[in-house]
Amino acid sequence: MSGVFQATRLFYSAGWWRRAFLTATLLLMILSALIEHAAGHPLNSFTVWLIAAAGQWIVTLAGLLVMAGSIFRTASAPQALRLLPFGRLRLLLGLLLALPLFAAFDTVLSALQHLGDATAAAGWAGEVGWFFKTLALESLFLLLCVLIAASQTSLLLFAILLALAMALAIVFPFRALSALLAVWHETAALFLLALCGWAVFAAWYLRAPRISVLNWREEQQPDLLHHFQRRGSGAVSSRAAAIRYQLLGEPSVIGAALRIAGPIVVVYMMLIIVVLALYRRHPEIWSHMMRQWPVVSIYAQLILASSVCGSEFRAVRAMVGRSRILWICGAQTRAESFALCERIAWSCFAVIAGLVLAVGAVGWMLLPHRPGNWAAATIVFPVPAILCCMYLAFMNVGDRLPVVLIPAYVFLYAAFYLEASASHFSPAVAALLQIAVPAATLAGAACLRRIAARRWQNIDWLTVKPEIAIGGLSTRRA
Amino acid sequence: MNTVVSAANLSKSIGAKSILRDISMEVTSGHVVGILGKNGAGKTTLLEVLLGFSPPTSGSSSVFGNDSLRLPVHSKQRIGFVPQRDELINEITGAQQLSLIGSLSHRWNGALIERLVASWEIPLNTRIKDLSGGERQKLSTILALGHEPQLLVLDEPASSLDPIARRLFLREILDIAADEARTVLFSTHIVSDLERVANRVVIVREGHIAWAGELDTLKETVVRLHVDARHALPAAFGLDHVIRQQVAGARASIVASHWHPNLKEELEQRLDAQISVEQMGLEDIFVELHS
Repeated sequence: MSGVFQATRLFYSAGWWRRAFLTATLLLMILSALIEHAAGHPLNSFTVWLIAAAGQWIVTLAGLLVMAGSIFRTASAPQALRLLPFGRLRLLLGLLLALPLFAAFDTVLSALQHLGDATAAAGWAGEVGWFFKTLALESLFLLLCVLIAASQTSLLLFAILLALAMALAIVFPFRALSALLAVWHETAALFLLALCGWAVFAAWYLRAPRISVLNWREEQQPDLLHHFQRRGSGAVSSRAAAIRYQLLGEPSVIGAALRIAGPIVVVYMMLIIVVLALYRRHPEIWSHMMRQWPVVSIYAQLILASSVCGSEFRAVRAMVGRSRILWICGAQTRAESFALCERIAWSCFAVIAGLVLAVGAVGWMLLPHRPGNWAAATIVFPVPAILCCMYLAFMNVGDRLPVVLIPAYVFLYAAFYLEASASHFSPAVAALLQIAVPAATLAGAACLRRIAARRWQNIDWLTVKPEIAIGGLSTRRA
Repeated sequence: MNTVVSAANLSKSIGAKSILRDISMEVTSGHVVGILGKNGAGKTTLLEVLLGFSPPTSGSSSVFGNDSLRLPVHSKQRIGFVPQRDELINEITGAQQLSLIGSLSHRWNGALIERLVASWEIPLNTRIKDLSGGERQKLSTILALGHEPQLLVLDEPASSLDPIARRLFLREILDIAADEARTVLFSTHIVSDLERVANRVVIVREGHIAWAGELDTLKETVVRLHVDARHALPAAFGLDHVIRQQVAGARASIVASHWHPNLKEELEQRLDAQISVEQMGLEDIFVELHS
C-alpha cells in the first residue's frame, strides 16, 4: 500500500512554486465557486465577477499544469520504472488511485459551481455521470499519452476515440451499463472504452520485459502513426528558397504549416462533429449548457487561439535554433537574420491562424452559442495574443521560458474572459473593453518585438537548441 | 604566424552554473589544436562562445581579429563549423542537403565534395533520416569543408565514426592542416585521435584550462618520477607543480608538470636518492591531470 501512495505522491510531486500555485488555486477556486453560488446567476457585481473569473482562469491553468506534469511522468515512467523493483506495478496502482481522486475532485467542483442548478445537474446525468465521464476521459487521454507520449498523435487518437464512443452509443445503447451506473448512454460507452483501454494498457505494461542495460538504447516509444508523417522534398531553386528551407526544414511555408496545424484542425473538426451529435440527442440540456457556459462561443475560441499560439511558438523556436547555421554560412548580420526569421514567422502565422481559426468559425456557425461578435471572438482577440506569443519565442529567454510563458497565458486567458464577460458590464464599458483589450495586447506585442530584436543582437544559441522536426504539439530533438 | 582565434578572461555561466572560468588562449594559423576534456568539462561551450554562438558572461573573444559576436561576412566566410549534434534536415537526401548549404555559401568546391563523398562512401540519394550516425557526421563534416574554410572548427567530430572511418577522417584533417593557411580547432575526449593529428593541445578541466601548449612540450614536461632514497622520505619534497605523489617509506612516485632535466640532479642531491624519469603518454597525462 505504501508503494501505491509513493507512486501517487510521485505522480503529483512538483516544485515549490507549482505547489504554492496549486494551493492558491484550490483556495481561490472554492472561494470563487461559493461567491458565484451566493451571488446567484447571472453575476451582477463586478467584484464578484472578478473573483469568479480569476478562479476560473487559474483553475484552467492549474488543470493544464497538473495534466502536463502527469503526462510527462506517465510517459517517462515506463522507461525509468522498469529498473525499480515492482516499479511498474506501483505506477499502475498509483495511476488507478490518482485518476478517481482527480475525477472526484473535478465532480465536487462542478457540483459546487452548479449547486441548485437543476438543468446543469442533469447534464451528463448529474454528479455520478460527471464523475464517470471525467474518469473515462482522463483515463483515455492519459493512456494514450503513456503509449505514444504527449504528441499530436495522442490528441488525434483521443478525438477518434471520442467519436467512436459516440458512434457506439448510437449503435448500441448500453442500456444495462447506463442503468447500472445511472449515466447517459454516451458516458457508458466512454466508460466501456476506458475499461478496454485500461485492460490493453495493463496487458502491455505488465508483459513488457524488464529493461536491461543492453537493450536500454533500443527502447523506443511506439509512434503508431509515424507512417502517416508527411515526407518533404524538393529542389532548392533560389537563395531565398534555400534560406526558407534551412529555417523551416521544409520547402514551403504551407508545407510546414500543414504539418504543424493539420492534426489540430482534424481534432477540432472531429470534436465539432461529436458535440453536434450530442446536441442532436440531448438538445434541451446542451442548449442550456451552451447558454450558461461559454463552452463553444468563447472557450473553444480560447482553445483554438492557444493552439495557434503554441504551434506558432514552437515553429518560431525551431527557426531560431536553426538560424545559427544560416548566420555562420550566410551573408546576413544578426539583425538581418532576425528580419528573415520574422518574415517567415509571419507567413506561418497567416497560414496556421487562417486554418485553425477558420475551423473555429465553422464551430461558431454550426453550434449553439451565446450571442456575440463573431469577428471579435475569432480575430480581434486571438490575433494580438498570438503575435505576443510569436515575439516571446523570438526573445531568446532560454531556461526562463516557463516563467515567461505562464504570465503570457494568464494574459491571454484574461483577455478572453474579459471579452466573454462583456455582458456583465454596462454597454459603454463593454464597448470600451472590446477596443481596449485587443489594443493593449497589440501594444504588448509591439513592445515584445522591440525587446526581441534587441535581444537578438546577443542571441545565445546555446540555450535555443536546433530542432529537427516540427510537430503539431511536439518538436523532436536531433 | 597570425592569430586566428583568441580569448581573454572568458567566462560563461548559465543560470547559477559556471561553465567556463577565466579562459585565455590563442590559436595561430597553420596549427591543428585539440581541445581535450572529460564530458561536461566545457569543450562545446568554449567552441560555441569562441564562434559567437553564445555571448560570454565576461571577457571577450575574437576570430580573425573581429569580435566573435559581431563577425563580419568576410570573416564568417572563412569559417567551417561541424556541430557536435548535426543539424541536418531529416526529410531530404544528402544531395539535397549539400545543394541547400551550397546555395547559402559564397563559394563551393564541387570537386572536393565529390572526392570526399566517394572517399567516405556516403549514400547521397538516401534520406538523411535513414543514414547511420557515422554517415550523418561525415556528411556534416563535408558540408563544413565545401567552401574551403581557413578555420575549421569541429566539435567532437569523430565520436560516431568507426575506427576505419576515423582514420580516413583524421587523414583528411591532416591534409587540410598541411596547407599553411589553414587552422583546425577541434574538441574531443578521445586521446588517440588528438595524438594522431594535433600539434597543440588545450586541456580543459571543470571549465578552466588545466594545460595549454605544444603537444610535444606537454609530453616532455609532464613526467612520472620514481624516487628510491636511502632514508625515509619527507611528506613534501619542495618540488613545484606536483600533480600527484605517493610516498611509502624510502620510495615515492611523483607526477609533476613543468619538468626540466636539470631538476633531476638537484633533486637527487637534496633527497639523497636515485631518481628515474618516466615519460608518459598523453592518455596517462590526461588521467593524472584529472585525478
